[in-house]
Amino acid sequence: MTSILIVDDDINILNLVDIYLTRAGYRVFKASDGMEALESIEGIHINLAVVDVMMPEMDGFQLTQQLREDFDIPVILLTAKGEMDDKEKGFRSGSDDYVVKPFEPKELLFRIQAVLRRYDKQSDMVNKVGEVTINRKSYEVQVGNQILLMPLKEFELLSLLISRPNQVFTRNYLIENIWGLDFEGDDRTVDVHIKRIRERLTKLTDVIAIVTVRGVGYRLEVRQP
Amino acid sequence: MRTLYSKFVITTILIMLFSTIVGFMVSNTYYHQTVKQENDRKNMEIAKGMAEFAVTQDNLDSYLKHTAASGYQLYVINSSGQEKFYGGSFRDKTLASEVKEKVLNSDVYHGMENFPKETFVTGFFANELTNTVGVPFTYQGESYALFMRPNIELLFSEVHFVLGWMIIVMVILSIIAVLIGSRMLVNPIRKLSSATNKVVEEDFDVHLDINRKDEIGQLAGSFNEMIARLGELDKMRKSFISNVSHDIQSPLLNIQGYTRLLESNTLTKEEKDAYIQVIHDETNRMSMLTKQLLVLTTLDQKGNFRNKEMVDVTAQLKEIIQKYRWLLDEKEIAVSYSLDEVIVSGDPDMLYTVWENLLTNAIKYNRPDGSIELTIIERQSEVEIALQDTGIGLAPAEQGQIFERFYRADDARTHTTEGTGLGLSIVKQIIDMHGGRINVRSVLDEGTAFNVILPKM
Repeated sequence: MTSILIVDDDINILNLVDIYLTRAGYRVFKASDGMEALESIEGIHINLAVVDVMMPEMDGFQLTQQLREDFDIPVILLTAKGEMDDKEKGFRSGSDDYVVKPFEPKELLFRIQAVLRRYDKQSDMVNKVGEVTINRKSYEVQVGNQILLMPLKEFELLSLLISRPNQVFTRNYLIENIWGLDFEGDDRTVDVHIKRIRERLTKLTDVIAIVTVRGVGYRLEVRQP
Repeated sequence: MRTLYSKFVITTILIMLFSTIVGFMVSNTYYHQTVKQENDRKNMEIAKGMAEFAVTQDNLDSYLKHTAASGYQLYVINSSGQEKFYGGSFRDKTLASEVKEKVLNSDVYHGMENFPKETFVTGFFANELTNTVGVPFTYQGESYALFMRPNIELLFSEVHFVLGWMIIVMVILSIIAVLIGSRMLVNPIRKLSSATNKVVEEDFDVHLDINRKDEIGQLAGSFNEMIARLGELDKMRKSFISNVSHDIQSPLLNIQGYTRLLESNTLTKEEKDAYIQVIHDETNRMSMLTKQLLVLTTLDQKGNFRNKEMVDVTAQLKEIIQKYRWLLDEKEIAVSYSLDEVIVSGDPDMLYTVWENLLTNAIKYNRPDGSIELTIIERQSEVEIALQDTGIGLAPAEQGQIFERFYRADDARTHTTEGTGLGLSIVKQIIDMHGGRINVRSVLDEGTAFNVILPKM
């Protein structure tokens, strides 16, 4: 089970985030300041920490630095609106992402998933085929100077196909790798997503194309311009 | 109450009194300084003539009587002490005996020229024996002294009369004219004041019919303009309040209704979830409404804002896209953009609100698996930010109204109750404040494109 540490001196935010994360299937550890956080994670494996910037005594940046250096835990910072400098500081102290308060719980959930996925798959962060660049860190597809942000499932599908050009992927393989073993949908889901990816890509480039291999699955073709 | 009328009349009378006194003093001073000598010289010549003739007369007494009758006051004395007055009598008959002696001893007397200077006494009119000229003459071996002054009373009594009437008529006419003139001034002021009272009672249906080209006419003109504006604002305010109360009231009623439904024990889980969802949506809507009302009031207060700074529009757009990425993912919408760094001068918070409103609209009214395309075109002096979605679009009739406060496209068609009808009016107001413009192009069921054009400086 994935464990997440939340550190915030605001008890209401702490509880709210706890409820959402628990419901999303995470195991949650709470701490209301930096010292408490460092004490509570002794001997426990934590996958990710959500840290508020403004805290008494040890601030979020200091805590982030310790979590990164001593425990190698990825960190998402919570910052107040308008604290533009915080972002730079945050990334310098080693945080992986930040969320601006006030935030939708769903936004935080999305960021957590994104960061966890990034750490989960130790494949190449950036994959370039022709003029198409796939950036797994920012989940962006770049074609020339055009940037395309796709829904995550579509992005992962494309990312998998592009990692091994010309190799044929069966629908089952794609479902298992993208949606997971306990996915309840059928092959149609893959087809729908592939169709959408094609639509979105044709507007931007004709260097790569997803080809249907009848009766088997899909492969990504690279066409030199 | 002291009216303007009485003030005008009193002021006029005071001015007349004052100018009369000043005029008297100035002319009296002038007499003493200049005219007195001249007068003395003139009269001295006449007196000398009289004396010359007197010497040749057979009957001195009758000669002097006749001479006096032609408009002079005379006083004659001889060395043996005989004295006599001819013509009009002097008011003050005292004359120092040294003076008489002096003239009898063949000297002349310049009484007019040396008449004492007094502020409130006109030397010219002073009917005194000292205010004369004296000449000596010899008649039948005896020396005489002749003191003479013109008989002003005789010569000028008609003039007095005429002048007096003239002044009385002038004063009366002036007062009447002032009354009429002040009425012409006061009347429009009274009209203004009664109109103001009406406005105090919140009656904006007031029009002043004052047609003048002077300052009061201008005042009336700007008053009419002001009242028209106030009336408009009042109407706007009232419709705004009624709109707001309606928009707060309806979600509250829904929440009340659905919480009551939830009290029932026989609900299935689906029903319960559906009711909770409704309550959730309605609280969201109210929260959004109050937020946007806050933005609107700050915009109204700022009016012509001054805190302009250089704003990196591209960075703002990227930040907002990141912020709503979870929502994009949830609705399976893709965003594509090609954003070079573009800087405009403006209020960063306000511009952020513009992009946020436009982007959340593009998400809200998009179809699942739809897309949003963002482009920035930089030109010489302006920047164009275009946002194209693949949403439900707008009917031509709706396109003209979307920027109006509280206008909302039909709920049944948009499949949402989230909107407050304020988002785009806020967008428009902010862009107007920045001296920019916003255009909308839309095809029903295909999508909508907003183009925001902002000047760089």
